[in-house]
Amino acid sequence: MTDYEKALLNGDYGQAKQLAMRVLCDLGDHYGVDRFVEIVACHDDSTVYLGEAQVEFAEHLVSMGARFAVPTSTNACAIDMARFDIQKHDVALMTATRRIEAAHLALGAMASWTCAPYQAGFAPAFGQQVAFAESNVIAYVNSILGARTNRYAGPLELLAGIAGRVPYFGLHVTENRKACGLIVIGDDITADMFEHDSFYTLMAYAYGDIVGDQIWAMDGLPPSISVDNLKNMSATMASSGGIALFHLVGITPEAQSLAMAFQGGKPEEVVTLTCKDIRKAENQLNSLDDGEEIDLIALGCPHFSGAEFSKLENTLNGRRVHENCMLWIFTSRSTYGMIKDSGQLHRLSSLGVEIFVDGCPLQHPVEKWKTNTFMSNSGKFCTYCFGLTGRHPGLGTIAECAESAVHGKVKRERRPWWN
Amino acid sequence: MVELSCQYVIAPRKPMRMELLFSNDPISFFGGVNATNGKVEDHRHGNYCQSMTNKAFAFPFGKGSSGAGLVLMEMMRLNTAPAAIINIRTDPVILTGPLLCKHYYEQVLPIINMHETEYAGLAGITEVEIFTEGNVLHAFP
Repeated sequence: MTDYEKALLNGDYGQAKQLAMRVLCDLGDHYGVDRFVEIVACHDDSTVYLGEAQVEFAEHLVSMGARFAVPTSTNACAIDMARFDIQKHDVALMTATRRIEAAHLALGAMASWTCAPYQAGFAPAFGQQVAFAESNVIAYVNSILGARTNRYAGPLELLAGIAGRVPYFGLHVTENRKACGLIVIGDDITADMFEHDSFYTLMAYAYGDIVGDQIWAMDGLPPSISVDNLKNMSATMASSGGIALFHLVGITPEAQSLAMAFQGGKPEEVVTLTCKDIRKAENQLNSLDDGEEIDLIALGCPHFSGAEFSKLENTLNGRRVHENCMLWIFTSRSTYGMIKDSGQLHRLSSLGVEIFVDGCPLQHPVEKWKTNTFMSNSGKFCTYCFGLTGRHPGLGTIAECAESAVHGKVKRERRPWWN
Repeated sequence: MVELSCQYVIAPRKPMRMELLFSNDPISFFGGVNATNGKVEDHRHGNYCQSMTNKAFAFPFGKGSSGAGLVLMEMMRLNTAPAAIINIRTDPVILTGPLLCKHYYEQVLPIINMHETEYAGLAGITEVEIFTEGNVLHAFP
């Protein structure tokens, strides 16, 4: 440890930094390291209200005079802070969320309130050391941007941000970032499947299921894959598995070739992904059949991007959302500002689309809305939907979700992997 | 009784004997566990609808959402938390709750790691006894 780090631990820079260093030293002990690495940014995921403990803890940090030592972005919270009443969320949840907001802003966090910070101006550069929480953000910044973070969880990331450093272990270290296994695409997976956005989500679900908590590489994806598909893959893999880093050969900065992904070594294991895996993933994520009535279509898990809004508007093509169902979109304040300026917000709202900021589509008051059927384009949403709402969801593409919204009924095309 | 070797990541303050809730499925505490009643709420998990409160909860490793830290802290506050956690590997997401509780609530939630082959030996076990030091635990069928 440096003299400065010893002084932090000794309490010379205040109680908050001392508490942070005590916890981080314990963490380092577990992984057998006594060195720290400075971070350049923190993503704060202690923002969705999951109970009183997190609010108390954040307020405790404020009372100790804590401040973030590095730029810190806030993740999505539970609700749209200004329009929680339209979502029929309890006043108590709004109050708790406002306490979280006050405490985290007092710590010096920026009011980004998004689970896609990398699409809202908070994207670390290649090779940079960061302490990020929120499973999709962790997977995305490691795998797509090539920044370095472990799977930090709330409220540990707050302490990393306050100390401005983390123990030098895990994915902060180059050697630990190499792939150990390889997934190759089976012969029964044909080129037309790559045209289907759901394919990437299902492939990602299968990947997390196969790989568990390890680092693997996957070969055979088209380099033309959209940024939003990469976002949805990151979120889905990090839901079905404990994935912090995946290597998509030719896409991931550290895996432009197979040799790079394995840092010159060879895969210890090779698994072929086939249509059977894709079908199995679809059975896990989709429980609705074509033609079933739908109550709520929830998009934006992670938060919707400008490109996704355009795709949605093109499919709706001026048609209104059916009176028997709701189409809710969740996005960041940053993207919201952009679509407001462009007129898109007004156009979509006039078609009956509800657009919310800050909040999370998984936090839905089912009893108040009497929602029975959910549909989403998100593998993450569909993974957690039953656990959080008690309802099994349907999975479709953005275009299918838009068609379903117009008809008030599930509209899903037959997938080529069922042929 | 069977003696199984293990590593105490966070050791208990005194020896403890408790019921075991065992699974070969990884878990996400966010969306997979109900903090208010301590029950597994992920229908894909082998312990679906079973309570982990005051039991040793064994799962190979954590997966999914990094909300796990906040959920485990809340479970400690509500007294619905497991009495101990047994993993093959414990990543920072699972370690966060117990680490914070140690330094903030001054409560100990023991974390135990076991090698894959030893972990498999927990299948069919109903109770475990864990100790303040050493590198074994006792398993009772």
